[in-house]
Amino acid sequence: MRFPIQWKLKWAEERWMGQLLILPMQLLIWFVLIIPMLIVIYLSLVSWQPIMGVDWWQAPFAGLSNYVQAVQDPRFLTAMGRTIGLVLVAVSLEFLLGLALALFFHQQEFPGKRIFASILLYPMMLPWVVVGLCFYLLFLDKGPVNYILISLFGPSASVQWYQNPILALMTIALADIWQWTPFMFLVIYSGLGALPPEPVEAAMTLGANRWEIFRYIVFPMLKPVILIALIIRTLEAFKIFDLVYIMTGGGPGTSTESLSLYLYRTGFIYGQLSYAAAMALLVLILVALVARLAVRPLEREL
Amino acid sequence: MAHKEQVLIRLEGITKEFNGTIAVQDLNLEIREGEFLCFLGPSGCGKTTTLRMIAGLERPTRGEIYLRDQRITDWPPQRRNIGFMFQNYALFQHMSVYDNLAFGLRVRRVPPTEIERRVRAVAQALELEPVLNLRASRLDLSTMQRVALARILVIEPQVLLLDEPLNNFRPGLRELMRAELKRWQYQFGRTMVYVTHDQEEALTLGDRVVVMNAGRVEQVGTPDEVYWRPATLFVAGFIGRPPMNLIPVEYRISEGHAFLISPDFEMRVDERRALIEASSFLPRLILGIRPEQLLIPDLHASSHEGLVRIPAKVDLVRPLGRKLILDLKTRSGLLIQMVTPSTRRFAVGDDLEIAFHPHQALLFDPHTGQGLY
Repeated sequence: MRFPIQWKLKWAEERWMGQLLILPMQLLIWFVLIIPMLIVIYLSLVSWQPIMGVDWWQAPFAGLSNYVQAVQDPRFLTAMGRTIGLVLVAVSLEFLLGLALALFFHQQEFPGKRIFASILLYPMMLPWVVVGLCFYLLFLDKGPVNYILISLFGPSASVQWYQNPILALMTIALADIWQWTPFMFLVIYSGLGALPPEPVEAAMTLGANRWEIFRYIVFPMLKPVILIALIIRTLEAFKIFDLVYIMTGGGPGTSTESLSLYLYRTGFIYGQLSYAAAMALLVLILVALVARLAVRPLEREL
Repeated sequence: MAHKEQVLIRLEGITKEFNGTIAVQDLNLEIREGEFLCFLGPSGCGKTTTLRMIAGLERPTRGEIYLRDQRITDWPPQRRNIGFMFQNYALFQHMSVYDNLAFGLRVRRVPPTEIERRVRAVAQALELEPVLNLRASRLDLSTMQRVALARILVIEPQVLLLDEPLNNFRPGLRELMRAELKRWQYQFGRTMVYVTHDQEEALTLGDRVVVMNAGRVEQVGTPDEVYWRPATLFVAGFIGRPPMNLIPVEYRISEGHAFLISPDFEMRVDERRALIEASSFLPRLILGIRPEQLLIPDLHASSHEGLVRIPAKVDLVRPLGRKLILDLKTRSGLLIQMVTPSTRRFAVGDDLEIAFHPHQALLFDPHTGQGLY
């Protein structure tokens, strides 16, 4: 059978054909990624609020004044510091707990191991809102935690969790740890399972004890996996919003406000979209820098 | 090798089961000081499992392991001071070659100057000095192998266990590394236990060979014994390329003489009557004769008194340089292989009379698989 039309294209036609074929994906990327990004950059460079009565593309140019305002804004800077602190505490505890659990599950055999492993993963599957609500209820003045404290240590042991900024941040961190330790566990546990057994056995025959095997053989081999888990978790935790919004609303005052919450309020409650855009870009630059630094050892590894 | 007869490791009634599957069954073996012992068998025969039990990486389900008369069955691998070389070498990829070599000494808390000295000494012996600072993942295969060996030698183990270390090499390099291994054994004078499924490797390297099949030891002996006096039908069929010819025969007594009878030939075996009659499965027996023990009588002018002759037809000719392999069909349809010098030309369909010396033939009991003599 012969084809009625010759399907051979000239070089120029071929080029056009190629462009045509990638066009849908191009459009998608432009509309989802690049255009919104350009709009945010534009917004951060003008002075525009929805209530100004001017369309956003006609807003007066403001130069870098939004950025200057941001780096001088104590509320922005403390929210940044607070978020970084929260991320450091929560992610490192998640990592240590996840690692301990993964090692335990990897080395011990016990009945029902598979069932326990899958139960462990449930918190991760719950929506943020549900987790936030649960922990909010747990730490209410007349909630279960205080009830237990009172029944153990008497009425004076009751704690007003949400009145003290440090304690309030602790409850948020706790909720985050509860929800995301399973993720660390999952990643590290599967990483352990994928390691070749021979280097460990070789270390055993060479005389290394359990700690030395972990410290010098297993941990270094696991490092890429651990780094990836830490990066994913850190980027994710940096955007923490739901837990704070539900559990403390950023209060008392603004003492538990996270970056995302402050950005949201600036943009959508106070209506200062230009200012919010500038702050968001600053955060993006910071996070990108941190991620870059974290990925570097990984690249060396691969 | 002055103390060659001294027993270094003794395995007593070792059995290993994995979830009800028997990997090794009732294994008894003595490994002598300074010898090169080869475990040979098809994959899944339990040879690697045995090696891992000696190293302490697996626990025998039953039985005991002794090291210099000390019971070590329950000792963890760390206490045994036995070097184990893995099939893929299991180098610590994230460390430098130097750190790989120093690892065993560091975990033994050897003083740093001593570590430095010993690592350098072994590195020099195995020509690893130029790569000491390279990452282990950057090495080629033969260097990896030397690093794996050096890493073990530096801790001065009682015995070296090697699990198919030449498997990853292409054929040419394989022979080269084989010679290298043998040289190392002379050089370092250590007891080596070597697992392989390659019979050539086992026969060239081993002082003694342990042939295993389906979790059992079929035969322990020198390469010559294993080759020329296989103890069982399995060994006879497994070792040798082409393998031993195994011909079903029947034992019969007529007119006071004992005969082995096949449709193609008969053979008097009066002097072996007692041995044969001990067999459980009479009158049926299997006669074994190596392809290179078959000859063509009319090529040799001298007398051939007592030769057993078999008329046959050439079925296939496979030249192999200085020799050639002939596939022959007897009148009864039996296939016999023979190896003969390629000084004479053969064509498919040629009629031929082949023969063997009766005293070279081996006899096996088809029921138990055991050799009768």
